[in-house]
Amino acid sequence: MIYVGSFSLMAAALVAIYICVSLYSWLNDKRRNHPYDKIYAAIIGVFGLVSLATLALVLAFIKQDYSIDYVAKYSSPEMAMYLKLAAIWAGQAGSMLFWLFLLSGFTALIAYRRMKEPDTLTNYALLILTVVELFFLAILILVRSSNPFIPGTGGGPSGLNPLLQHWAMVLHPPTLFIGYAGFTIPFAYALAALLAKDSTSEWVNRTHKWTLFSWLFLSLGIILGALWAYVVLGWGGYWGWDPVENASLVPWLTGIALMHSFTAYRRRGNLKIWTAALAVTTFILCIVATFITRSGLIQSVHAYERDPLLTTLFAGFMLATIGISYHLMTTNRERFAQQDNFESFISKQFTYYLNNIVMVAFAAIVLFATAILPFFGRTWSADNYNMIARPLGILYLLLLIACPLFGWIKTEKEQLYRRLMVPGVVTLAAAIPIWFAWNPGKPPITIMDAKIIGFIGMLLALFLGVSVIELFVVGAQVKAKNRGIGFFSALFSIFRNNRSTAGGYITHLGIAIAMFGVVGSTMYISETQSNFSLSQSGWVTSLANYQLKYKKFDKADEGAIVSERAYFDVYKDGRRLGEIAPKIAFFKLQQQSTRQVAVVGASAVFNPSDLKLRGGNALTAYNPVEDLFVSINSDQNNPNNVSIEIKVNPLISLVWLGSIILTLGTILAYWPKGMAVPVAEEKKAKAKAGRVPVEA
Amino acid sequence: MVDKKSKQRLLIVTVILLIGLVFFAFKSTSSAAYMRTIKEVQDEPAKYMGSTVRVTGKVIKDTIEKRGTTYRFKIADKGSEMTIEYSKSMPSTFGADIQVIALGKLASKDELKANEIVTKCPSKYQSKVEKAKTGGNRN
Repeated sequence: MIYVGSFSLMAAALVAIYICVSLYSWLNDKRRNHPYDKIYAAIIGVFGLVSLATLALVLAFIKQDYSIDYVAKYSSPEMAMYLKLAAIWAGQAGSMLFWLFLLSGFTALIAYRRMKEPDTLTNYALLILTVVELFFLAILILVRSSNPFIPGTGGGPSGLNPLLQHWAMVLHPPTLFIGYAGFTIPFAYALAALLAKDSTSEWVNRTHKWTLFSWLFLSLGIILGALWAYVVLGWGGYWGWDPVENASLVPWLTGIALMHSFTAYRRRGNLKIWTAALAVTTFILCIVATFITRSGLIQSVHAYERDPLLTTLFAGFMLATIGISYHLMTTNRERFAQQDNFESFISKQFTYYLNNIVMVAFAAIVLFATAILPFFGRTWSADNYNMIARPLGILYLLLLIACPLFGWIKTEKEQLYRRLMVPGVVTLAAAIPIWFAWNPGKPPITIMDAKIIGFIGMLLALFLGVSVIELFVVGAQVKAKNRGIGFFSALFSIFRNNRSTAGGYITHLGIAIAMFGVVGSTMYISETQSNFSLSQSGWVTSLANYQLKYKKFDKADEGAIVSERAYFDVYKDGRRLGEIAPKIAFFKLQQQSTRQVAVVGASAVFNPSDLKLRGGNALTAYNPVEDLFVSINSDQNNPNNVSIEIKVNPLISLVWLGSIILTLGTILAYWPKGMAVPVAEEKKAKAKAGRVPVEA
Repeated sequence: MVDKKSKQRLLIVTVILLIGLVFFAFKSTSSAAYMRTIKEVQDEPAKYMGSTVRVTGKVIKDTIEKRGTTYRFKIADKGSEMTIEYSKSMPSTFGADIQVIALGKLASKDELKANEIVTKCPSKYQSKVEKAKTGGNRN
């Protein structure tokens, strides 16, 4: 396996060099009659070779071939098959290979699609994509710590970190990597357009679906990571502003800016050079994120420095990318100038612009605090991040409310006010109940009080949600009237024919719901901790309107794990909901114990079955938007005692629901017929723009 | 093309926004924690007293005490030890011999009142060098 893997990678590197040379000469041949079919076949060939190397690693994991160091480090025989496969991306070397596998796959797909009709733009893009492939090949082949095919040292298997043995953590890295690798495509086409001096929207049309696709997977990856943190890490939250989380958030933010500037570029010929710069930035951030998470760059700056070759390759590639992109952008400045005039602040033009500024500025701040500050021996705590994230969140909600209601250049004031009526009235009506539901008694102190900001955030999220629904209702009404069709067929037709806009608005709705949940679940948690003796059957503790009654404790040897469980009956307002059994799992091989949380509430869907509520009338009794979160811990001082931690986490399921809606919205926007942009549909949408709100 | 007047208007709004953000970023950074080793803190306690510090170390066995909801334990890093006090939720992997990152205010030369505790998650953060160091823990 070692030889198959290493040989395939080296062969892939040689073929990639051939591709670069041939594409370069094709592009420099004025008559463009250079043979290209061989080049395209070679691009697909690189994918074949990289797949072979990936397959070799897969087989090595299946066969548990410990002659390979990487296999011994990340797997062990008793692990389930899906976990053995997931171990492929558990470490740095495997992740690099997986990245390359995805990238070469995407590149091969582009080559295959354009085989019949190659063009300058695509060939430039393929050249850039192959150079990026070469970068990854160089790292895989030359850097020892990044080569998954290094022979083992003969030690036994060490197994996968127990914390990572959860379905969400199995899916989290590959979804993120699909997103990261996918963002290479808009980057390659942006540079291709600059190299080809083609300032039309062609490159944007070719890549805007790829961008949606990549952003979708990046979102999914982040959501899965948050879910995992919530149900596995056991501290009750899902976002801790940890460097690894921030690393994936930063390209996600610039990805939002990129998707929206694509729209401004395609529809209005605006923000051209800025769009190209964003595509480059997002790609660079994806590479940085890969290196932050996989090389320990941030957590241990010193350890990282000891791998000078990796540092050199990484820094060299980054500098070259930035330098070349910057040069191309400055030389093409005139050609890529903006077409529209800026006239009014009450316009889509302005909200799109502001959206870009807010996203990029926030990304820059997070990046600064995550990646730059540690070099000066300083670090931000979660509070520091929240101080910026909260006001920006408010500003962003305002933007999301305003943007769809504005026209591109100007906005009719009267119509705008009419649109703001319904959500305004609903929000005002809900304000008092929302205030009293989560802030009983306590009067507001200052405007910067986190609770006040949270309250405003909740109201704006509600306003946004209602206004998005109103957009669809009004859109369908107008369409129904114009076409003489029923309301529901008009609504259906909006979803069918204007997928990218409708999908965008559904995504906004998802954000509204998730933000409402984020405020609720971060600011209004109630919690308690207590100790009890194992022999104290019938011991009762309570929090909010929940009561827990301790029943018994047991310890079971389950092969790889020793589980200690405490059984409780859960009551709400005196009514029994069922039984839960939070546990402490001790992983023998890794000599590591973890607390496994029992969750009563909608988030329990994501938990393993033995941690869910059993018996009782759970479905009818508990609050669907609230979680009861219970974990136990052994008492270090007294082996006969156990400590219990209980949390009531309001509105948390709205975070997951909003995330699902956001994902569905992005899928809807992405949906039309594969990667190719359906030009006819785009034109249709353009022609209709302005008449119906949803089709703006 | 963007004419001069509208360019100015856009620029003014952008600058105001960015100044606001930089203000918050600056405010956050001035209260940002110092990332120091235990030894560095103990060498110059006066410098860090009262400010937020982040230290890393391995939880020393048999030092974990729990009174009510407050944890007290010692961590060790390269021969230096420090007591950590913490009363919020512990991460699920917390225990003896676990590498933790503690962030909080320095109460005395040897004690940190932590606000945040993160347990290091080996396969996510470890690089080759670190792995060699901790490899001995594995059976």
